Amino acid sequence: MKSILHIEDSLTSQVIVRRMLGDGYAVTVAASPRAAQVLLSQHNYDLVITDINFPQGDAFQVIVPLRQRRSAIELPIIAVSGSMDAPLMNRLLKAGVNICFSKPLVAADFRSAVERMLLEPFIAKPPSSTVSVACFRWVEAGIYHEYCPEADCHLHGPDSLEVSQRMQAVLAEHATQGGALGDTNTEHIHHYRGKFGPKESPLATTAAVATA
Amino acid sequence: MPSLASITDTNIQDFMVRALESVSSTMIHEPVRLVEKTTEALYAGLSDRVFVLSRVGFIGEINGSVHLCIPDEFAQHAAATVLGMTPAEVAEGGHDLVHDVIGEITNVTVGGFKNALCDLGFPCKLTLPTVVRGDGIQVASLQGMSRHIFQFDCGAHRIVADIQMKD
Repeated sequence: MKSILHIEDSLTSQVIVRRMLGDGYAVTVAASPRAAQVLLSQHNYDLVITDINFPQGDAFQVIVPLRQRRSAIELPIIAVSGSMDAPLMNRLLKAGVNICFSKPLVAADFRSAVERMLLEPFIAKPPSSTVSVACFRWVEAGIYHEYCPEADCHLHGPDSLEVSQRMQAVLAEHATQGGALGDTNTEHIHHYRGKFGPKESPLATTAAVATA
Repeated sequence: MPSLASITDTNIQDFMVRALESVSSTMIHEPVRLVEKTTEALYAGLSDRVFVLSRVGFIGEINGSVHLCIPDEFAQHAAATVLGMTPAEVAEGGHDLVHDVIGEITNVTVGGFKNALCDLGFPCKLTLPTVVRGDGIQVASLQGMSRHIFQFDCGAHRIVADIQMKD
């Protein structure tokens, strides 16, 4: 019988998942990340299902150290949360979670994912989204500058393409970490222009950052 | 980031209706229907009834909280449905059992509401649920907060969703 570690503090969610999985699995429940760490150091499991937020800590306390020892194919992790928005999903997948589910769980989808994960573990693709961010570019003494007020990031270098690529990477990382980006308002632009004076007023440009 | 003023009353109503509909149909297996948007005076008419009142806050680029006010008998019915228990088993489990179910229902409902705010450009995180039970329950208006109170019907029961958001 396949063994599953379910990390969940809510009795209600423990029961919901247990009812969805039926009697075909040996399910052990850990009510906190710390309890899960102890169990994972003592037992071998075939799958981990985890909630994200706990009164003491979060699931990253388990996911990050676990992924240093076991790969996503050796021990798959399914993350479940009522607050599963795109930035959180990106962070979880980046940390090594195989697939994320938003509550309320739909029984058929969840059971199917558990069965597939135990049969042949897979890693879900992160959600793709595009964020438009206003940045500013200018040239000063032959050096290309790029500034993003929202991320408060100023980069420069001799190669404009290389500077832009670095800015895209910074913004993608910012978006992945859940940072607020997009829809720069005129207040930012005025502030920026005032700071640099009319002669060196940068051009406002828009960088599309795809987080994937 | 967009301005808070860009969140319309229609947005707030839509987000709450969708969140509660999803939770009600998936977890309680009963459709929920928006009856009306109402005012704080509503609580005066509920003073003689026992309610379970559950709260989850959201903090981040936008701040506020959602209270769900659920009649005690419906809270017990919801607990029985969600946990797959009989009403007698729920009664035997006591208030803690019911509180845990209502806390989770509120957490998932406010999670759906919060995710819609996030999609609109206001990322935020949820606080842990707090649940109380009693009669004469009333949620106070906090200074500097806008308030949106919605009544829903779920089966024969009336549920109140009380949202307060920092202006």
